[in-house]
Amino acid sequence: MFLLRRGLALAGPSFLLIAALGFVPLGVILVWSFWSWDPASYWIKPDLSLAAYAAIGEAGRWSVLVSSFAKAFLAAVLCLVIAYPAALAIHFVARPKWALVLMAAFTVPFFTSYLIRAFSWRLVLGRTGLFNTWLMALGITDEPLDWLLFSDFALMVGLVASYLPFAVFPLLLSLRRVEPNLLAASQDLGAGFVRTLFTVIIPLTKPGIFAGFLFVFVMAAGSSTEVQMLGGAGASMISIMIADVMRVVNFPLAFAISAIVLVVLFLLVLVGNAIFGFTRLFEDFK
Amino acid sequence: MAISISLDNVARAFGTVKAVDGIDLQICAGEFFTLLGSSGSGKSTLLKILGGFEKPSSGSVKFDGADVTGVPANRRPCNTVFQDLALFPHMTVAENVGYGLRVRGGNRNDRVKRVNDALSLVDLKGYGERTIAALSGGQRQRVALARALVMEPGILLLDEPLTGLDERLRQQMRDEFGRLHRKTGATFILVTHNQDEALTLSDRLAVMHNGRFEQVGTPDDVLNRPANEFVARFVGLESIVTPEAVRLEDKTCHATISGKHFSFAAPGMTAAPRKLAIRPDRVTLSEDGGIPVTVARHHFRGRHHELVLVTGDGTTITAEVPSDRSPQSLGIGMVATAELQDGALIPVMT
Repeated sequence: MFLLRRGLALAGPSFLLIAALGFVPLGVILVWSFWSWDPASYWIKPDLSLAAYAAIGEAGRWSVLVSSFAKAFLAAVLCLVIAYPAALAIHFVARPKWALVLMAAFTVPFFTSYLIRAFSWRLVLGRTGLFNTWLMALGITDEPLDWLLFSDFALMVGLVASYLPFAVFPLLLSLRRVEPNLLAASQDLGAGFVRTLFTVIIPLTKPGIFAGFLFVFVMAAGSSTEVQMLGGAGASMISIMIADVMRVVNFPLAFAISAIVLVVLFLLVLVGNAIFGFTRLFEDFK
Repeated sequence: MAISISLDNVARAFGTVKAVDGIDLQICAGEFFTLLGSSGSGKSTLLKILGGFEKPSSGSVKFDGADVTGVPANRRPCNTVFQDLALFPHMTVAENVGYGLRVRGGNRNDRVKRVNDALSLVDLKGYGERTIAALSGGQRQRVALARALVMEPGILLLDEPLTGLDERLRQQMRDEFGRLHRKTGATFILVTHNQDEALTLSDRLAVMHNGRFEQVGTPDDVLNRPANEFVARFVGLESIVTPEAVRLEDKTCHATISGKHFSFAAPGMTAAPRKLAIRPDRVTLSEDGGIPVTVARHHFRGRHHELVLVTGDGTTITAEVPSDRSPQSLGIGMVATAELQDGALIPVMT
């Protein structure tokens, strides 16, 4: 009892901090999303109105929401497809020293700003960029490929490059929790590596797969720099849409969009946890 | 069918450390063979070499005369019960047991039947749908056994499978191993640091130390004719004395220890041993008549008192005195004489 009370006392301040910094803004967002916008005063007034939610249906905002989630989903899946073999390599193949080098290779690009990283892709993917120059030098194409930059392709490259480490590290974490003897047991019972990968390693790293997916999905769904720097003309993303709405001080609409995003993400976490049990990643083994 | 094993000069080095240092060994088909040694003796490495999880640095491994040195674990006709069992936590009992059969392929109904047979073999009939987490330690042990035995391996490798079980369960599973060995007829290789397990289960055993075999023989050989001091100490013979004189005559060994003369029957012995070990349970204390000793230490061990006795020349002899003898008479510093009963002396060959 004493220890419990002391534990609570110690955790108290951080709990209050999390509540103040996390839950209070969330509450504010939810409450304000039901207020209404007064065109006369150009300000919000207390209300219980669904007008803001109705406004989401206008001006193609739904399609921005859906396409943002779709792009985030695709980016998350692509990141997993690239990150899983990479995590396997770091975990199984590389010796400790090389594992460190490989992990650093995934992390170091993070030290530069999003802006610089997104911009550098322009130099690679542009009409006179590195990629097109090579393609033409090798005689694969006669003229530069237009769709490489300012397109959904470029956006996807930018998103994947930006958020790949968020997929690699949860996967590594979950791979490290797979008992090496389980792999030996699988081999002992006649399974080769590929078989073991699909029957033992992947099922046991589901929490890490989902955590990696979730991290990339959330980050990509909230991204704006990559869209602005690499996306095609008129390409939008949730955060850009929110910024546009905020510019005309329509706070209820901005908060209503945020509330929808929050609900989608919460549902994703709940469903994901029910299926993949990703909170197990943070539990102690056995 | 049981498979015979032949190791020819097998060695495995990790850097400069020789975990296994040039082992030659023949194991007959259907034999229960134990690798006995303390941790770091190389016994687990040798087992991994047999299972195909570790490649020997040199030497060859043959199963039924065919060289399998380069064959990986998944293509060897042997199965392992791992020390920590290594049951798949995301599968049910039946899925665990049926894993190997599923990998091997074949008829589904046949597989289900064989899984059920294996489960009843280890007394876990009807447990197929349970999860691993819902099982007790002993039941998990049985699942691990069933998972290996369902493959009908020619060789079953047991890597310290009883470590971590409580004493009662340990004895139960030990009897279980004996029963399953008789029933399956496969070659069983057990790795353990527990001499009781080794001595009660094995047809033959090898005492391992620093990557080498100190002695290979039957439990009777190891217990009654230990090859050297290390083996003698490993099987619990702590007191080793160098007799003043020893000679072999008419299949009887005569030895003089601290001026006292002892003799014991030594059938089959070709040379007189240099040293003798003294079985602690065959030493009794008396007022006079035996070897003069002083009680140096005294430990209560439950059913008996363990006394460390020191002779005139400083040699220590351990004696186990039953607890029902009054402990008041066993004070430290007490002077008495140690008498050696029949069978107390065991020759240590080198």
